Amino acid sequence: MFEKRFILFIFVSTFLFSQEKSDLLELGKKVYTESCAVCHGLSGKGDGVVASNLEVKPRNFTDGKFKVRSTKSGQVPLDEDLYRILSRGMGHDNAMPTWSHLSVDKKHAVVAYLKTFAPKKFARQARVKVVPVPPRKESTRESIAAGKQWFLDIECTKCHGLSGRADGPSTKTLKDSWGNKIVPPDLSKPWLYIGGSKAEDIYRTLATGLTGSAMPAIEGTLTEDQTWDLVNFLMHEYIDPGNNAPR
Amino acid sequence: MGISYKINQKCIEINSLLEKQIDYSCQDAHQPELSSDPPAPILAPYSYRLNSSLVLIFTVGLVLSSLIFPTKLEAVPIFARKYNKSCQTCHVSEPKLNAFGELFRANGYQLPGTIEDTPPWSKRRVDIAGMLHEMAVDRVIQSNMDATPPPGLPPRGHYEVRSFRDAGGHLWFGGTMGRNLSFFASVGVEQELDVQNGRFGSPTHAHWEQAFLMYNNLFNSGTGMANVRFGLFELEVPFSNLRRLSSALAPYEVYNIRGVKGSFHLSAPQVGTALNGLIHNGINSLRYELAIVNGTNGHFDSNVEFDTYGRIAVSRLFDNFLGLLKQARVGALYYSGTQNLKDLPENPYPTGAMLDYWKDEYGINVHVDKENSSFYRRGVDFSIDFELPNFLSIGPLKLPFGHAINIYGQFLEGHDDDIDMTDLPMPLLGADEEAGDHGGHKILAGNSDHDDHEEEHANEWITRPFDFEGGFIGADVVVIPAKLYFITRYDWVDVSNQWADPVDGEFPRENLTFSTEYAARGDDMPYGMTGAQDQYSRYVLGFRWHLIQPFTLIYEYGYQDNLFGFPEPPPLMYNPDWTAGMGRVVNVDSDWHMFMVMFAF
Repeated sequence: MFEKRFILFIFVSTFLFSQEKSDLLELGKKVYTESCAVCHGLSGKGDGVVASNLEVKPRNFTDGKFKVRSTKSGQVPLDEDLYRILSRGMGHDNAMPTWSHLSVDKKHAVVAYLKTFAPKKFARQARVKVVPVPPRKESTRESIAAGKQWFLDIECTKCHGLSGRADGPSTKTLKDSWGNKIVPPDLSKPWLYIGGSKAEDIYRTLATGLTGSAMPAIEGTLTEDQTWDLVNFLMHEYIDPGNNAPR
Repeated sequence: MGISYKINQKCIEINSLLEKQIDYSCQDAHQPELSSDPPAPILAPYSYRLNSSLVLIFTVGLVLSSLIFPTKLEAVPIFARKYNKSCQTCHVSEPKLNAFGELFRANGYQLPGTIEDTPPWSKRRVDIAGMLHEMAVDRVIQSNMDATPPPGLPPRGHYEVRSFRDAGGHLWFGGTMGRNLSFFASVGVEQELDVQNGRFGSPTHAHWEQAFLMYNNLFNSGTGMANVRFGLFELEVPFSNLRRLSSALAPYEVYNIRGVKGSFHLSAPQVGTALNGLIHNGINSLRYELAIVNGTNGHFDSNVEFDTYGRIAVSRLFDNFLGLLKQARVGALYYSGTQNLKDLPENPYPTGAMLDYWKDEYGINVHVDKENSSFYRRGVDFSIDFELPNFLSIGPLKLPFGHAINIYGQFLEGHDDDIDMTDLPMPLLGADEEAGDHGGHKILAGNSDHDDHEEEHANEWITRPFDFEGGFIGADVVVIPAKLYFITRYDWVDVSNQWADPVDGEFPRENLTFSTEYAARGDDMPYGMTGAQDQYSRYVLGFRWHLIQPFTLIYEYGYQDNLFGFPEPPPLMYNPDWTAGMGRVVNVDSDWHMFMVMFAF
């Protein structure tokens, strides 16, 4: 008797769960087609009606490559990463606006639906490794100076230029993995940072890189401490000098 | 370093302050209005003639600057200040909206599918967007006039005008004012081309172009599905004259056609209220609008009738159908209205009692039809977006851009009962007695010195129907995304009867296309209705090049034949009303090259 009830419970639970998931995907598909498809295309290939006129092309979801993530380079993002990008958008040069006015349910539904464009890639989502963002190191003169040196040593200047204004020697030749020309952001314009311009956002972008672009992951190249030095330099030099003055 | 800090900090502060501002709909320059002055007998271009080498240097300088300096569009225009986005998010090229921009507009200037519910009092900043949009224009207009003119004017002439001027500025405000409430307003400051004492003048005036409130999502119908707006607005026409890519010299002509004394422009803003919305599931969409307006394009409304407008369009988003099709739309519109002379903006007595006659701007007595005359417009339209494969790729050589193409077209036919102008005691300058005694117009409407028709028609108002059909077809091509655009359009209008022939309707131009109405009309129509100039067309070809921000270089070449009836370019060479009044057979073929520099902030 107990076994029958248990089997029934499992059956009903499975049915309800699958139904709930189906409803979520239905909602996600609806929101996606209404709001996202004009750029990303109905099949998620980044070839919507608007796409060809955009300087930075919309993401092709079918190959599972996402620039802004908290996971290691080459891995698919977490749901939280996708949700964060939906809510915050991706910088001024990128046409992806902030969808903060979408309801929470709709954003979760869109995230679930986006994953269906690359099911094999996202099947490995549970095994991805998250790059941790440790607490910020204090922005001291020494830290900023060290960060400046790292900025030169790891050749950020090749793309971002010595001035940080996207005027490096490689700037004009950069292309992404899809063959589209890309331009690194002028670091003095925080609204161009596609991964966000808070210190933690910059740390994450530095550590994980931007998959598919020319921005590499420096995790493994620099230690956590050194990465924070670099972040402190960027914050002090370009983004918010008033609030990140050396102490 | 300290200066750098200050500058950076200032930029951050400015950006922060403007973060919540919004821009969503750029508009093109307002077209110069028709002048009420007769054309100057002698043009005086010398006062505006500019050394063309200066213009060349200026233009070349801009082009070179775009090559030397970073060419990426880095503007933070108004929309970007709220949503941190570039112009191309919503615009093909300013001011034309792309599919996303249309969704944005349809949803009450909010991102599609969203409802912004932040109350205005909690924003801590003024949620108003503004954009100054000024243009400097250099243009050359050459016209060949082949006419039977009034005394004092040569029968034929070649007129050439060059100008280098500031064409005006525009300010836009718009955004959301809380949950389900949005607004939009624009102010235009324009210089009108005018002819005063044989010289060009350019009086400047500012006016509201649009100003309306919009309540969105009636009955919680869903985002953008049912909105109502109230105020001064442009109707939901298939192709907005305020957001087209071509210049003020090349409006969508068929929207502006009306009877000789009509004042109605289909795409000019109206005062009224409208219910509109976009019902869509992402793939298929239905756009509609039902409007009740005063029919006077924002001018004082003196008749008791409201005009009505209906528009419906369906569109479908394709997933690269046949490898190239992205989106297709078909639609239809119908406008029904009434007007009388008192609706005319030139009428000096808009609030007075009914006048038996009214002196028009040339001192000609014109009877006022005491009854409203009715008119309608109806039409169909289409728009197709597709993207050609990069057929220019040869092996490893690939051009770094795609070719998104928008092909669009409009067919419109219209009918004006037109306002009565019988019994015109107007002088026939240059006409002799053999010219048909004013084409016989005196036989109508109670002229005492004529024959037995008089009794029959005394005090009988005879409306003079005016029918036309026409349209346009055009293409906008994205040559380099966010950078270079190619535009072309062909406009044509076929007028079946017109108030033009002074003689008796038996003096058609050479190479004109005869219409059946011509044969039927003959001398029966007062003052001679004619088949002359019953067709005209215009072809425009140009490009827009987004140079360094905030400059956009625009070049257009235009050619139009049979200028008769064209409202533009009106005062420079030719006034269609004047020609109608004088009753000359006129053929003006015109072409122009126009360079324009657009500033958008």
